[in-house]
Amino acid sequence: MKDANTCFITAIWLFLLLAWLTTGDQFLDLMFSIPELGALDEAILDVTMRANDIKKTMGLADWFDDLRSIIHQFTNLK
Amino acid sequence: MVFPTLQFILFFTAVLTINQALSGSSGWRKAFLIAASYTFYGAWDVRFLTLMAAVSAVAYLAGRFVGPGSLGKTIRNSAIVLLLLLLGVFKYFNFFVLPLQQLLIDTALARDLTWMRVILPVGISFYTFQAISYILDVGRGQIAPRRNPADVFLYISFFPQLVAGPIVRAADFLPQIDLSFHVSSAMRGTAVLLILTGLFKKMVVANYLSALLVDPVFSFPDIYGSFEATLAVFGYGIQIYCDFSGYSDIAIGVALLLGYRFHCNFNQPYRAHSLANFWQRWHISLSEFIRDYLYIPLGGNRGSVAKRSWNLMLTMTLAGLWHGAGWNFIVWGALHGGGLLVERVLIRVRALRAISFLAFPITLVVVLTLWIPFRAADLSNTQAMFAAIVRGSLSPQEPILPIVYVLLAIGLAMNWLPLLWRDHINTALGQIPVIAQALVLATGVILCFAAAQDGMPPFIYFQF
Repeated sequence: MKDANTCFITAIWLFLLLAWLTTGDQFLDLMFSIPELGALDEAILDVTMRANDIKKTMGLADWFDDLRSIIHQFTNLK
Repeated sequence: MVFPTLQFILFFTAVLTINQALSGSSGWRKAFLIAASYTFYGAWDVRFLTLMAAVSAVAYLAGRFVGPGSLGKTIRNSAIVLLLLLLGVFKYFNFFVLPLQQLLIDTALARDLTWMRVILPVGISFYTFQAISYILDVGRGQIAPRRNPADVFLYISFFPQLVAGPIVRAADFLPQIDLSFHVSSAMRGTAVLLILTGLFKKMVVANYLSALLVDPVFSFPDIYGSFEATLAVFGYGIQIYCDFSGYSDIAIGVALLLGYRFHCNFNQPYRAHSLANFWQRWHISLSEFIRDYLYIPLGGNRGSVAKRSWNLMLTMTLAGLWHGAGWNFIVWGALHGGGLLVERVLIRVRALRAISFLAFPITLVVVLTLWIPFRAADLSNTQAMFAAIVRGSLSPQEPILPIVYVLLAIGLAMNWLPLLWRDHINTALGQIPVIAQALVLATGVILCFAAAQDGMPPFIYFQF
């Protein structure tokens, strides 16, 4: 049971990684909105920006934005 | 921190991970969940962390000393009065003092009194009620007083239900603290379904109905005719249900993944066949709280007809006031109380037998109509909405989009679909492999976020 739960949480982290890879700058924007925590938030921002730079070199499209456009066009929601 | 945000998803995934890592140590897990809950609450306003800690400390200390003797009762009553005073100051100070301030300004006795305002801490009504629940349950001997303050601090601050309920009773929550951490496949399946249902209700149905129908009509009722005004009232009924029950669903799902079970807070309320039945289905945790801790101690159904009627009216009016410091909430509560009284009389004289087939539509119309003062900005806005409903046809400047009707239908379906269907989905989600459970959760969350509006309006019940 405990292993199954660990597996569930690991899968959630993997999906989050996938989400980060395919959602453009959403995570970066979030990191810029965290409250000022001195050295800690600077470190978090630094890591996030470096990771974002690596992501850009991979040339991944913003699939989340595409999906969002399709849903909003289809349902006429704005 | 609000549930349907990326910020919460990252926070909760981290909490879930550390909670799992600490599953072997009850003490460390408890301490961690308290820290996580204070972080969650502090993300709104760090200043009010001390208030929540003070409320918890009062509950803990009172719980240690309450008892059957006169001293124990004095301590119990003093603690409850103190907690209600704190709630009163933070929640109702502005309501009672603003008219006085205006009078002072009008009579030129004062110029600027804006400093005499009190900020309402998010969720204060919920965690104060939980503190009261602990003291009363200990006083009644329903639960043993906790020696470890961490137990009480965790009960009062536990983040899933902290800011908008459900109001979890001490007798339900505290025994779970002592159990070893356990999340079964069925619990994960239920949690996945609840979280996705809650996100969909809030992010898609409630938010779009609010933006496309309810807010425009309630903001400018003078430019809308009967059809649009009536539809907006119906829309608000669906919006508040999806907004509040959506929050409860997510809270119950999130707590389940952390190993805690909460009772259901909504049970298809618009299927109610009477007002009394509506209150057994709507915000069940509040209904039960005011029944057990207010209505029954006042005398409940005992005594003369006049005494019982007074108990009911007082309880419902106070329940209205609990929702917010405004006359519209008091009127809403009192009207529900009046409706319940009329219903009792009609049942007593057996006047409803002949029209029992109309019980459901009449209840629905009454409940929806009573949402008008609840939603309206003030009493004049309430009057303007009623005027719009009886105005007749008026060609609106902005026609209602077809998608609004789809959202209304979905909202209604959530109330009307047989519970057996939900149970089937629940069972299926509990039986699929764990990776598939995570995949369903991730896919559902992404779809809800993709369908949502830009920005996230707060949950309606945050203001209470």
